[in-house]
This record gives sequence, structure tokens and C-alpha cells, in this order.
Amino acid sequence: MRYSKKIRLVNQLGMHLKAAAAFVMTAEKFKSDIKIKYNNIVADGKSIMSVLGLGATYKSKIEIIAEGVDAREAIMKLEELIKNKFGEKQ
Amino acid sequence: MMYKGQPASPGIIIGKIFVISKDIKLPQSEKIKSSNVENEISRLKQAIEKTKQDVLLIKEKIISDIGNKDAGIFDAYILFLNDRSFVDKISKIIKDENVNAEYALNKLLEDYIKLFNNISNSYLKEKIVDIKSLFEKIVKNLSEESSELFPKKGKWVIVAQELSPSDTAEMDKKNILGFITETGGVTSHTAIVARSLEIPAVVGLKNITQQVKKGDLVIMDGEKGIVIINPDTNTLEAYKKERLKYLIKIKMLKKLKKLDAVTLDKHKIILNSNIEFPEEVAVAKEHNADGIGLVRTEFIYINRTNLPTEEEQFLIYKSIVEKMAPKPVTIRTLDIGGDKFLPYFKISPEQNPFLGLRSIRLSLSNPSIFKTQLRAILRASAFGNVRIMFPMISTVEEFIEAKNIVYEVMEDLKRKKISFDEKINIGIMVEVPSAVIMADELAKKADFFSIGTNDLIQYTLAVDRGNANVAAYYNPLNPAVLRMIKKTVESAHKNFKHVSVCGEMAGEPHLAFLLLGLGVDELSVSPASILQVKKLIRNINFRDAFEVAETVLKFEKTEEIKEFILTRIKSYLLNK
Repeated sequence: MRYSKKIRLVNQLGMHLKAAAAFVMTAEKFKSDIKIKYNNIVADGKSIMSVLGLGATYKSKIEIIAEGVDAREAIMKLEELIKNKFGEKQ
Repeated sequence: MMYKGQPASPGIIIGKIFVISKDIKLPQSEKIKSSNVENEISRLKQAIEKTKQDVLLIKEKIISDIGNKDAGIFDAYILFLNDRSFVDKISKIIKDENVNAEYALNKLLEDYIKLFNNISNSYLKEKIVDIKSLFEKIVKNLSEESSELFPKKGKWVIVAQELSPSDTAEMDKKNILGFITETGGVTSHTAIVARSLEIPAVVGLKNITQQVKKGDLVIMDGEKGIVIINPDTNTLEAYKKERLKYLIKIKMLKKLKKLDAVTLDKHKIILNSNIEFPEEVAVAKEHNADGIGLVRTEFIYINRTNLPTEEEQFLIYKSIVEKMAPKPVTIRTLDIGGDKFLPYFKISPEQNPFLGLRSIRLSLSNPSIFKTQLRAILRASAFGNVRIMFPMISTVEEFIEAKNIVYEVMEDLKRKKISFDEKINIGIMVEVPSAVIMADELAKKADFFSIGTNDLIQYTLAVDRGNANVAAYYNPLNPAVLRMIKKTVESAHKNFKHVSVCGEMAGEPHLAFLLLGLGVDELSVSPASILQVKKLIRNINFRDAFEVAETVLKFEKTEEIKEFILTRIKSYLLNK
């Protein structure tokens, strides 16, 4: 199974270290391969180095791509995380 | 070599220097033999392992010290250190370029710095510090001296670029004689910690870490902001005498700690402390202040990116109140606008911010922010003796409106069965001339007055004291100001209410003398000034202060008043 979704970052800090950590920790819960596409760069969603290297900012649109048995659920959870601003206040 | 920085905490000390260097020294690309590549990689892996353990330890310490909230960053560090591609990438740089691990780490960090610098969004840009700080920890662990980050034995003057709360938390205080830092001002973390530990500090000495090395002899005078590195014999001898004089002065002042602020003719003055930071409560207590006369709550709101929650505020107020109980703590509601602003809470630009939407006006026009603060204060009132104070009240109806909001919040707390002090005292700052003129009426409704002399002088004399062109007009001894204070005191006393003074005026001994003469019941001064003001009070007769005040109220010129007070106070103090 392969699912993908474009989502806008709504936390003001963008993809900083803590946010990237939250993303990776969520992604690691799934068996699927998870990638993030931003500005034509593709990052490994389970590597914090890679996610951080995107330099994705507030309001920018990223695409999450999941491939594997639990791809659909993975996308759902990751979307929820981003919409909840990675648990940040703003 | 003598340097002049900003005085941040008083005291004279002579000691040896300990430099805390957190700089990643940009290592030259140190070439290594290809046979050493494996060695270098295993050195890297060890440093990463060691850093992991360090991070876990700090995380545990932080969780046990302040709870779970700020520990998230450490999870991110661990994730990063565990990331396979991290080790792989650094190892690849070592292998491909035959360079040492420090250089390889720095190269990767530079990539991140470049990436983040290219981003126009400043929020993310600033967050590079998180990554930097992690890389610094690893580089530190690569070097053998890592165990010597902070002094373990002996006594040292710490020299650093700047000290973070986690640095000062990790240091063993008994090894520290003083602090010298490159950055920071009087309100920096270093300065506050130094004052609460009562050790000297000089801040804002640019490049000082480059000028000194471990073991250099240093003289520092925290009151004047002077730092002398490797002094000659004459200077050293001179400062040994200065230090002795200072120690005697401190010893004399410390004797006053446990004594009351009573005049020679047995008139008790209530001597309170102002608090700008929670750390200052310890000093206030140590110097036996009669209470906290003013908690400047702005510190909770600044240096952050969003409004503090009720819970956050409650915990801070509660901790101050509990530490001071049963002594009273007067908490002033948010006093921003004018020249103090919050980056995350913008008000539209104004022509005259000091005559604009500031202080209580801002609270009244943003009821939700105001109510959140009031709820936190009221909840804290269940744990000690709390008073609420509104800043910059200028009309009677404004005070009634603010008080009604307090009652509204009280009703809500009652419904939810949350306890608070139902008889809490509610008072006002008198700092606008209209409040002085209406003081008779306000005194019937307020439980106490506190005169904010800085603003009262500025509004009475229509002078901005920050403006050099007119700064000379700003004078606390202006007869109009003294009559304002006298009128405020009379109105309060007619209604059996206390008057406190919490501006800078109260901390100057000769001005404090005059204030007492004018009938002020309480003085609230910065923690560092308590003992000096107490010394003054214990050496004067209230009767004399009263007479001097009566006399100067008849004068019409500022200069006359000043001269008269200075001569009189000198003769009183000399005769004692």
C-alpha cells in the first residue's frame, strides 16, 4: 500500500529539532517506509538528521509518503501530529 | 591589565581564574593517516556514547527539578545520537577526507548552519542553537579535558562567554568566588544568580575569555565593574585593603539582618523588598525584609513566545508566597506598555506610549489576560498572605471596574470550590497626578496605597527621564512632587490606610529619610538596598525626619530642598 498527503506546517517554529524528533518518534511506530518531500528534496521520515535537513518552515507545505502494510494509519497519525503543532503551543 | 564591565553584583574579591570555554574551536582540518581512520571513528563512537549518557543524566535532573515540561529537547538529542545516518555521515567525512572527528563534526554542523541561515523564517533560524549545543557536547566529549568543564575543588573566579541556567545548576557553588562574563546585563541570569549567592559579578566584558587563562590572578570589584588581571604589587596591596574595608562594611551591615527597622525614637518602619525575579526572594528573606512590597510580575511574561498559562503563574506566585508566609506579598498585576512590550502581544503603534494603552488600561481592555492573572494570584492567596495591587490607576471608576473583575473571578472560584483568601487586600499604585487629587475618594475604596515615584515624578513634571534634553527636570525633590506625596499620605491616613513607596526613591537613604518624614508607613526597596536603608532608619529620629519634611514643604525651589536635606542628614548621621 502507498499513501501520500500534502500538509501545511502550522507550528511557528517549523521543523526544528524538537518537532523533527516528535515526527520521527511517531514514524518509528509504523512498519511502513516513510518519506517527506519538500522543495524537491526527499527525506527519510525515520531519520531525525534527514528530517531536520529539509529546513521546512512555518506555513510551508510538505508531502508525507508512506509505503507498507500500515501506510494509511501512519499518514493519519502523522497528519494529526502536524495539525496539533507537534504538541507545541503555537 | 584593567578592564571595565557592567557591575552586576557587589563585592571585592581577589582570586584565580577558571575559564569556562564553550566555544567549538574551529579545528583546522587536521589530516590523519589513513591507518588511523578506524581509530578516529571509534573515538567518535565513544564520544557519542558518552554524550548519550550525559544527556540522559541532565534529562533526569531536569525532570526531578522542574517536572516533565522541558525535557523534550533531550529526547530529540538522544534520537539524533542514535540516528545511524549520523554516525555514518561523520565516519564518511573522516574516511574520505582523512580528517579528525572534531573537524568532521564541525563540517556537518556548518552544513546545518548554512541551511538554517538560508531560511528567511526567523523562528526556525534561531532554533539552530539546539543543534549547536548538541554538537558542542559531543566535541567536548572528544577531548580529554571534558571532566574539567566546571571546577571541582578549590575556589575560583569563573570567566565565561555567558552562563546558562543549566551551567549554574551544574556548578558546585562552594568552588565559586565570582563571575565574569562577556555578555549580559544587570538583569541577565548570571547577574541574578550572583546576587542571590551574594558573590561579586561583572558582566558585559567583551572578549574577556580570550584575554585570560586558567590560574591568572584577578581582582574584581563588582560594585564598580572593575576587573584587573595579573595586577602589580602596589595595586594588589591597595585592593587587599579595599577588600578588608568592604568586608568590615558587610559585617556591620549583616549585623543588621535580624534587627528591626526602628528609628532611635522607637518608630517602627515597615521595610519591604521589591522582587523582579523569583530568585530574589531568598535575598529578601535572608535580609529579614518585613514582606514583599512589590512583585513585578512582568518577568513571567517576558522572554517567551506566548502568554503564560494560569497554572504556570500560579506555581510561581505560590512559591513566592509560601516562602514569605506569614509575611505579606504584594503582587502587582501586569504593568506593560510605555517602554515595556511583549513580542507576542502587539498593540497598535501609539504617538505617546506613556500616555497610551499601558498597565491597568491594557489589562482592562484584555479581560481574558487579566482574569487569568487574577485567578492565579487568588489561588496563590490560599497559601499565605497576599495582596493585589493595580498599577497606574487614574480614576475612581477604573479602580471599581478592576475590583469588580476580581469579585467576578472570586465568584467563579467559589463555584468551582477552589480556595482563596476571601478577605484579600486590594490596593492601588498612586503614580498618576489625577489619583493624587482624587486620593480622598480612592482611599475609601482601596485597602492600601503604594506610591510609584518614578512614574509619579514623570507625570507630575511632564518629563521623560530617558530624554537627555530634559533629564535635568526630573528630580524627586521637586516641591510639587513632595506635595503630591504629602497629599497622598494625608488622604490615606484620614481613612486609616497605609502608604508604601516602592519606586527608586525609597532606596536612596537621604530620600528615604524625607519619605519617612512625610509620613510614609512602608518602604519597599530592592533586596540589595534593604540593609543600607535599615541602617539609615536605625540611626535617625523619626521626629527629626518629620521636622525636616515640615520645613522643606514650605520651600519653593528644588535646590533649596536638596541642600537643606543633605546638610541636616549629614549632621544627624555624624552625631550618632
